[in-house]
Amino acid sequence: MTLPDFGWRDVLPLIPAIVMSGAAMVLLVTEVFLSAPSRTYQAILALAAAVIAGTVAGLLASQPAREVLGGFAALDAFSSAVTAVVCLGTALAILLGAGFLRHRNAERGEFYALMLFAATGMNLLAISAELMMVFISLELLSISTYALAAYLRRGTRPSEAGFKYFILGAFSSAVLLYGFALLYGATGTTLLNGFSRALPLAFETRPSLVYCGGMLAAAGFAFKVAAVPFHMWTPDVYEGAPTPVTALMSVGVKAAGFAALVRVFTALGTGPNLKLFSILFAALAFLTMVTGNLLAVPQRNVKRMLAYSSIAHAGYVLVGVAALFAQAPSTGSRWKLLTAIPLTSSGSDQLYAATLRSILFYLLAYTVTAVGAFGTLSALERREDEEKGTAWDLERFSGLVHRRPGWAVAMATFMLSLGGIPPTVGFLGKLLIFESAVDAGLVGLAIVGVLTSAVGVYYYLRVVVYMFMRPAPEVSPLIEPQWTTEAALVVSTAAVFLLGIAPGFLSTWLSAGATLLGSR
Amino acid sequence: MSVFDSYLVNGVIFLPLAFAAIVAVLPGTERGQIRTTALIGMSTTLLFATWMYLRYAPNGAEFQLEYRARWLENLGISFHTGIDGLSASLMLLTAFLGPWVVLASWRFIDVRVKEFHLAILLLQTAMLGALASMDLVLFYIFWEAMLVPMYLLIGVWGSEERVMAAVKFFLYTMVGSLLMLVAILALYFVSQPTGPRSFDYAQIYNALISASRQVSECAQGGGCDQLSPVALSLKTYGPWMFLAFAIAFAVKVPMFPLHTWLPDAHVQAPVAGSIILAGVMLKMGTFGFWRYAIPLFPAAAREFRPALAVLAIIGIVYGALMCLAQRDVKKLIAYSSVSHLGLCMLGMLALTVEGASGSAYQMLNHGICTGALFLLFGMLYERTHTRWINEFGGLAKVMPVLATAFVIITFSSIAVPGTNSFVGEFLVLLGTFRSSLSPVFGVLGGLGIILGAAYMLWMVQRVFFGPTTHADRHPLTDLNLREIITSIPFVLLALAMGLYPQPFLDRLAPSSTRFVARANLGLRGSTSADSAVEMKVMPLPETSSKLGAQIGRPTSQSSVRIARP
Amino acid sequence: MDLSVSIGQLLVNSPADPASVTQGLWLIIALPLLGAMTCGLFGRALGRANTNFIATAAVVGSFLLSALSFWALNDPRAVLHSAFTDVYTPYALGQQYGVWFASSLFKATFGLRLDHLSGAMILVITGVGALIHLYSTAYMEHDEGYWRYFAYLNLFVAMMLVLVLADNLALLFVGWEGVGLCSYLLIGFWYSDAAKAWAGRKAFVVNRIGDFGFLIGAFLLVLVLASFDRQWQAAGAPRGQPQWHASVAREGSLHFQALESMARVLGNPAAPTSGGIRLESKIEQGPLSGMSFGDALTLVLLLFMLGAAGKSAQIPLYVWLPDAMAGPTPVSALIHAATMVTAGVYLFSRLNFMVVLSPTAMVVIAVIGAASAILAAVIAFAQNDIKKVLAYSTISQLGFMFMAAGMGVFWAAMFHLVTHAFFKACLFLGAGSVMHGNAEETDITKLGGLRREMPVTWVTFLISTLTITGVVPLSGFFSKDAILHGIHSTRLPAYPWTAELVWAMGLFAAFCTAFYMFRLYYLTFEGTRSKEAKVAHAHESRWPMTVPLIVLAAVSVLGVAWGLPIIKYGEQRQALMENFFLPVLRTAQRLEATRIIRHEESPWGAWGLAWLIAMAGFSLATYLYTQYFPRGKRLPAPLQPLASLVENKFYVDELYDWLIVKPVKLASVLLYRVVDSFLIDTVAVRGVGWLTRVTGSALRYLQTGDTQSYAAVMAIALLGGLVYALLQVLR
Repeated sequence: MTLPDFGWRDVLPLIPAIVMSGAAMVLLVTEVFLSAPSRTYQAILALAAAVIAGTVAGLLASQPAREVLGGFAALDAFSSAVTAVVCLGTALAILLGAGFLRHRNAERGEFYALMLFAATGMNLLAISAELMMVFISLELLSISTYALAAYLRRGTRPSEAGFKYFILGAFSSAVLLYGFALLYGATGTTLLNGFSRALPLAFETRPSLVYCGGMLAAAGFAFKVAAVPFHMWTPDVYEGAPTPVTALMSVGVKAAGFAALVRVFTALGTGPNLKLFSILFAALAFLTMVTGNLLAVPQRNVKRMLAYSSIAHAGYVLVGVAALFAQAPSTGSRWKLLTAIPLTSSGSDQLYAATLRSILFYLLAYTVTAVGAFGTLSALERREDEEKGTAWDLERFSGLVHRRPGWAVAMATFMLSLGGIPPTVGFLGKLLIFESAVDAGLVGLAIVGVLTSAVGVYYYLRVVVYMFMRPAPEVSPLIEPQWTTEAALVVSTAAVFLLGIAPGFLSTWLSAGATLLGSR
Repeated sequence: MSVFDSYLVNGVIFLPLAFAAIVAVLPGTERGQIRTTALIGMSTTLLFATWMYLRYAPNGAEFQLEYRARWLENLGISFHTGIDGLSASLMLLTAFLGPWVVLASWRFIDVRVKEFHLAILLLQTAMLGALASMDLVLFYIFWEAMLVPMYLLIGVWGSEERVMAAVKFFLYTMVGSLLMLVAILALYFVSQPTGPRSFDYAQIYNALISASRQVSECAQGGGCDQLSPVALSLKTYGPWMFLAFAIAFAVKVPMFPLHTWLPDAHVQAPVAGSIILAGVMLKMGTFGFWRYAIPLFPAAAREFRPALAVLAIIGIVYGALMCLAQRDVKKLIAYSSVSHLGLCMLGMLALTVEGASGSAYQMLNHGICTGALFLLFGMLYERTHTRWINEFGGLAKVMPVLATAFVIITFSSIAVPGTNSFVGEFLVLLGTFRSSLSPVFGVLGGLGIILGAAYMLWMVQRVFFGPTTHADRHPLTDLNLREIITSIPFVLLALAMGLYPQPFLDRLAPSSTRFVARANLGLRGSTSADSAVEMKVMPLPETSSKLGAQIGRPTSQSSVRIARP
Repeated sequence: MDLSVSIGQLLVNSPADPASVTQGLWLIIALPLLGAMTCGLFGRALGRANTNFIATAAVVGSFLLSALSFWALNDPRAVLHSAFTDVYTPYALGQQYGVWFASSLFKATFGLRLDHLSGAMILVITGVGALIHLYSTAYMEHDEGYWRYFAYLNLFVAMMLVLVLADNLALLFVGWEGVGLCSYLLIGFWYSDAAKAWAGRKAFVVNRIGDFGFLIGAFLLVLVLASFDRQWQAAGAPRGQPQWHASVAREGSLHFQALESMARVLGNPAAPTSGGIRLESKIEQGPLSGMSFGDALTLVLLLFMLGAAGKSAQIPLYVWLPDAMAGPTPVSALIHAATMVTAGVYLFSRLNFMVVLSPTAMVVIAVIGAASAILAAVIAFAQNDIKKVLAYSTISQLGFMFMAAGMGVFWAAMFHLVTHAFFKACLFLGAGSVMHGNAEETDITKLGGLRREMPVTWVTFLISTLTITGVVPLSGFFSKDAILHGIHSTRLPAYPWTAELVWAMGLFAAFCTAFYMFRLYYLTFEGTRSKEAKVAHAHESRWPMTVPLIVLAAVSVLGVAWGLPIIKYGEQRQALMENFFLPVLRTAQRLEATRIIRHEESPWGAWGLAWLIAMAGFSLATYLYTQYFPRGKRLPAPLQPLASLVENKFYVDELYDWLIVKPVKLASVLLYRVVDSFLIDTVAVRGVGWLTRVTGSALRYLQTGDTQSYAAVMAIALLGGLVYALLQVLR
């Protein structure tokens, strides 16, 4: 056998990964020989790496879509867009991390290195078009996040979080792997672009393999994107992990996870005999939206509340996914809520592209908003309270507008955006998602979606109530603001409004992003 | 149309925003400057709004002073504003209340002055925008954007129970409008089965005309077999979409039984909040019915008309009865709003021109009367800090000017001939009698006249007449110059609009006629051709303008495929 | 030569020509309105004297203008050519000053109309009004709120003028409610006294009930007009229809002439213009469809009767008037005796052409009038408050007018309205003078023997008492007996028995009147001064108070002239008033010809009977209050409970309180507590929120934080998924 020869063009999609992993290496190595206490350069280096990677990815989006590395990876606008979003999230998370660590003077190279590795994993996950590669990059991503979750070694919570995440993560990886195995058994190939040829036969001969494989794979991804009922780990891990890491997990991991999920199931195709999957994702979306929001309602711990809210938002993205794979409108179904009703008749290609676009935009919207929210959280939490677990109590926010008006306004913005109130980006994201859902005929899901987001508004507003309508407590010192953190807050606030009012400058980029290699 | 005209409406909408920006940069300690800036901003808005109102030609095109720019166009959205008779009048009302709101809060608000004025200026922009927007999504954006400042107004500057009231207000309205969002999306697809689609109000309406006609004819028996696809889906989903819209608006109106947020909100809100709430925000509900819910789904609307009319009647009588049971002045006024807006809805649902004009006129009247009532009571509240009726008494002796103004406004609000409300209520009731609703509706609606007198005079009696009880506790001073200046316009307007209403009615008339024609579309006996009800608006400008944004619906070239090996 | 001719000659050449008068009609209203604004805004600044002067001058000026315009009516050129049909009204002027508001088919205009009906009214209003303003300057000389008082009073005059001068129902309603508003303000004038303030509110709300009826009636009338127009046109647009249609569009829907010409068409289907439209023909479209025009008009008139009952204090809405005495006495004299309360009578005289079309409505009006007349009179027996007695007597006298109007004797109703305005105003002012002289004492049992102390008051009061009693040869005699005689000579074929019944009731009411009036007179002026009197010696009032008394007394004597049958009309002679109101009542006369039978009978017999009746009441009172009671005799035991029942006004107020007021209040409180606060707000609204929170908290228990259980959940979910997948395959 001969090695396939790769041209430089094949390397293009890997550039972001290379940049980031390279930077991570540098950080690791220098950390060893470092004597000087100042580690500011590490943050800057990591930030630079993330930004460069993001920019490159953004530029790659304009490349014509094609297979690279012998079909193992796909260079298409979708992957590049996801990568860019991921890098944006990583960059912001790094900014937060800098301030966070400096406050705990726990700033070390590993942290940034791990973040960059995780981002690399996400990047690879986004581009990978082959089951094994999907699995490997997922593992790379997961392992780095396990480590990051337990990065702060003092105290029990972080290690507990890391441990839980690791155990359950391993479990889910196993499930995913098994699913892939079954799919391979059914189709005889691990290349996604091979599926289209192999599947018809597979459905004839071994449908149960395809179904079970798909089901297991879906479960594996559902764990990564924290979809109910595979969400149980989320609140504990999110709470235990250092807040910047939580931010990264809630945006980056989700984004990459969704990217892989979309790619794999697109390859599985959405033929009439795969109606199963459309119902599967609809059901997941339904459960996730309802449970996530309901669980968040009684939370007085803002960090946990945000964890649940991130579950809920995964639910909204899943609505988009369900719309993506929604079957041709079918009237006589028992699952009125989950199945499509014959409402409209847009061309399915157009619908597919539009829905992909919606998902992308929603991921972007959620990234800027959630990172901002976690950022404000991390700006407020004092390490003294972490053990007591009161660091993230609603009380911390009471009267914030009197003490740090800027932060209060920023946090209010993020809350409104999470709640989907115009003119924030959150509203536009929801509009797009529900538009796709309605277009696909999933009106039932859309209605559930808006009602649950009304529930969401309730607990988001509670934060605003505390910040604006409660008197500031006498004894509860605030930590001195870190410029990095505030920079992150400024960026995300600006993004929330800018993207909410005039997302024009993204237009071409995003519309290109709506192409996925191998989609029908 | 001159260049200036094309920006006039936007000017009115965004002037408050501009001044909000100025206020934002002022240091929070400079209260005087902030107040003055806000006042100037509101006054300028009023100036331009008046100009706009006068520029509107009653006999001209339906929508005038239009402005349309490319914005999120690949989502089918465009920045499209314009005014018809009703929206122009309501915008004028909104702008009119602005300066007095600022003046009324001059002394009342002394904490977080800067944020307060930011809030009311933003609120002003949102409300004006919602009234002027001609694109469903744009409308929805302004509509939702209204909530936040009002929520803060109630929650931050309100009284004891403010947080509960604020949250209640927000969630109540939120749930309604979210359902409306789904309905808007569904409408977007139902009305335009094949792209290119648009959220533009006029385009959606025009796309629905023939379908609506078919559906109505089918509803009256006949032609159900040859429905066009659009008509078919409209027939199936129309009622649901109408309900979604109707609920969203009924919450705002508020119609029984969705009204319970109003008393709390009114009672807890600061004076400014109450004035804006009663003056404009409630009209958003009736305006929504008038502009969107009923014309877009005439058949469904007629299907639900009896139920809605009954609810309106219940609102009138029930609201009045509630007033009789109140011990809290602000709550009483709040419930009286429920009663009055019930009358508005009744007039609208009569689907006769008299009823419609009366209803529209009543919207303006209620804005002025109830706004003034809250304003004047606010002046009293500043002095006494109590809302309980039984803690007042004989105030006419100590504050004659306030008493006089209050009594005049009271008479206006109970529709004594010669005041504005009389004209409105007269037309509404006449329209109801003229309508195809049974006269019973008219009679029951008329009951409101009796009960109105009963509860308003009862309140006036207890507060202003009888032996003076409050003076001994702490001596009350009568209105000062600022307050007198604030209240005079309301009194004058109440009388002027009662004695010479024709100029206002003339501007409302075309909207009323069109509204009725559209609501009766396809009804037997109504002879309005499709061309008559069709909406003519300006097309999307060719040159992509600054706002031009395109989150891509992918263009054909961008969705590249590769041949599968 | 004939008296009428000479009078005619005298009156015909008026100094002002009708055209210019027509142009200036609105000034009659504008003047008092201006006065009201001046007094209200600057009264305090101007000071008492100026305010008194301005207010009085405004009304006097208005009176002069009215007189001038009235004079111009007799000009041969003063003919109101109806824009609607070719009929015309002599001695009438009219002018539309502009549109008030209009919407599609409906139109309300600022249009005024002056004819003998409104002419008589404006003379009474401004004349009596002027006197009472003069009187008030003295009566209110110690009151701080004088400027408010005069502002309200002027406003009232203006509103009353609007009411009577309006040429369409919409504008009339402005006056209709306007006067109610002013009466509210004036009853509650001394608002620091809660009871007085509440009396004001009661008056307004009760009036509102009436106005509600009025409005509904007006709306129905619009509907009737519309369908009449449609069907008249459908009937082949006979002569007059196009013109009528156009005029309605121009002059407004509720224009009296529109109604009149409609009545003419409906009234005599024989006429070529009718095109077959008759009272019996059914209304084809609209909410009233299926109803015949006749029934619709009856319904409208009955609703108007509700309104009239409110304004004119008839059964069942009379309860507000006695309480209205809480206001200053001159107010009671002007508003609650002379002018406002007569609005109902005016309304029906104005709508005479419609009234005569509906026997049912006529009977209802007449019977209600008669009943009110008796009920009020009986209640007046046992009242000891001088003003209360007069209030009930007002109700009873209004009852007489309603009887007349109901029986179609409109001229008599108007005649009695005028004379009543004079003598009742005189009585009230007299009462005011008495109170003024006796430290505001109103209890007649605590007065007495005033004839020596207050001579002027005494004389005038006696004269007007005789007038109201109906003693020859005073105006009251002629007016009241014009009514009784008119009723007696009338037959409604539809309801043959009613005329007799009403007549009998009228006679009884007349008897009661004589009795309670003289009871009042004797207790107040005759006999010896009561021990409980507040002041030992009453003092006569100043000239501004006595002059009006004298003038009014004089007029109520001279009023005789109107009652004498001196005008030669056809072969028999007519009373001056009857002849005077002829031009206004022409349509009614033409229409009633077929529906009402009037048999001529010489008045002498009826007069004699009426006179005897009055004398009987008079002598009974004289015996009881000069011989029986003064000797310390009490009422015989069997009559005691009856007396107390009467004293308590048959507990009607209490009845209303129990039947209407209390239930409504109770309902409102119950609804608020149960439906609004509990069912909607607590259960429904907060319930949803509560449910959400509870479910959320419940779900939290799955979130144990225990890794194994997490894994277990995932495993179960996975299993479920796989099972479902396999089921799909097996399908």
